[in-house]
Amino acid sequence: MPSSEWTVTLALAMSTTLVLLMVCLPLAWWLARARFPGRSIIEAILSLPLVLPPTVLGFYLLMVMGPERWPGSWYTQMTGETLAFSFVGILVASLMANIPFMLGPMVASFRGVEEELLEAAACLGDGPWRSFSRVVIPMAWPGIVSGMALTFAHTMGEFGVILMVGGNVEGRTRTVALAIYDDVQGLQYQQANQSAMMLVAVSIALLVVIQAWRPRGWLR
Amino acid sequence: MNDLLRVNLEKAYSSDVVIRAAFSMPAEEAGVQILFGPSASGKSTVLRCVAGLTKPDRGKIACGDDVWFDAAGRIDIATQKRRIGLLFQQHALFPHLTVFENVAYGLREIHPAERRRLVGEYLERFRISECAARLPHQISGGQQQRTALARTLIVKPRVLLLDEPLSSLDTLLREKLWTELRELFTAFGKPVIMVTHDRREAIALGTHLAVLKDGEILQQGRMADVFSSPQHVDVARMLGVETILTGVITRREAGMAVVKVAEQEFLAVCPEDAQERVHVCIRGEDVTLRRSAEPVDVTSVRNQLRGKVHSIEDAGALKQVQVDIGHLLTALVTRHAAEELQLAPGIPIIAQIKATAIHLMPVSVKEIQRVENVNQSTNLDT
Repeated sequence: MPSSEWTVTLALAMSTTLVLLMVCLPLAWWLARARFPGRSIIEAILSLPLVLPPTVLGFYLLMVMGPERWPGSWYTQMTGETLAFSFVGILVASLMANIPFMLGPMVASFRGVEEELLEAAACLGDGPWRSFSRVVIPMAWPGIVSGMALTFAHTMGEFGVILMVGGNVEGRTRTVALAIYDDVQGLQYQQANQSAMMLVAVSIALLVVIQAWRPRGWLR
Repeated sequence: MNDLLRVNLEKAYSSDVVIRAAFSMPAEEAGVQILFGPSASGKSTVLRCVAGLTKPDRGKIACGDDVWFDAAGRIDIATQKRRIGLLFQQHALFPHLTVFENVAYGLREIHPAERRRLVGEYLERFRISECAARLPHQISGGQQQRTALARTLIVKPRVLLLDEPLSSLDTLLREKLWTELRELFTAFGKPVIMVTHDRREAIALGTHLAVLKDGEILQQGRMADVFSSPQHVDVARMLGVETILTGVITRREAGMAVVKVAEQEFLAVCPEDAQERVHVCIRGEDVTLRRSAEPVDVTSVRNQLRGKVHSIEDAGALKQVQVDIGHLLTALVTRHAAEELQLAPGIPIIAQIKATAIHLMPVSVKEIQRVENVNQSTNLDT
């Protein structure tokens, strides 16, 4: 039954999660360790999508994605297509909207790794990369997993931003959440209910994943 | 060929404290250098500089022919390339790894079978085999301590550094571990540098002692030398000399000196370099108390001082008695002796001190004023 909405939604959720994982791992590590005066300002800016109305965020993203303005104009030059109303466009928007969901749990769990443990690893012969993979990643794993699950779940259900930037184009930018809205508008309650139930199932499955990675005894 | 571990460094600690330390020790022999001092004296910073975890501002650190740090030559070898073993105050065991995995952590590029055998050997040696599969938070403090030691020693470091290794353990366990650590240091056969603020621990484990205060090494040398003849009034106080008085030498004869402190005279062995003004240092355990004077033996080099009991306090298994002899003199006596003498504040008492137990220390000019109003006891551990 995988309709085009589900394909778009899953592709969007998976690519958002993977790209943000790559971007946020180093960013979160830096935020967790660095000490400089402007750090709290940077953290505030990065968590702005949490408090901003999705339509507002979507509106401004749409503005910069049009073919007249940079970086939208640059994208159009390179590819011959507009960034707005395309899959790449909603992916970029989704990345922006989800940064705090990935970053927050990661920073918190990285802060839980005591400096002394890294020093101990260095004394035992590990350089920074090795101790990152042998100490930091395993210790912060629960935080990384919940960041990924939160991002995935949030992307599955994102409505305002996607609608503004993507424009509800079938097969390209229409996600399940948008399809439910359309179905309700067209009084297709049966159809809407089916999609909604599926989203509920996915959300519960993700919660189970987060629970399974609950910190064990050594972390409280 | 240079076979010394040489440390000579300077590091600004805060805006007004600069830590300076210089010492060396044989790089291929067992030897335990104690860095001793109160908190914030800079002793841990010295240790961290040797480990490469803190970068000194100036100086040079070398182990044998390998230069680890040289400010002038812009050399700063990373911690992971120095092959040092550092034992942290809180052990710093990896919480997500079992005891076995913790001990095995530093072993790399080694055949898995050999690795299992070697780790097994160390688990056995440090008596932690039975908790090999447990996580660090599931084992006792003593077991954590031994796991950290095994993890550190299994990689055969060139230098062993210990940062107040026993401070997280209770007193009883700590004293039991002294014997174990001493044997371990001997078996290790390489330089050990240990930071502590517990003077009994320093005596129990060290061969060499450096006393630090406010970032400066006040005195250093062989353990026994520093303890028996402190060169500085702060050193004497930190090393547990309970009574420090200031007096003037009035007579010298046959290697002995008579020192006048207010109305009292003390007979003491006279150091060669003694000036007129001296500190009179007396340890509490060298003072014996009596109710009546002994028949005076002219040849006895013994001080008999008449006074009154000022106060009596518990000091572990002993009683600390302050005797008012014009100044306060601290005596440490057993509970049994205190009962036998029926000690109580106000009763007359005679304090006896052998002349050889009184250590005279020159007074520097700037010290004179400061020290004269201090003749109360100080105890670093409290």
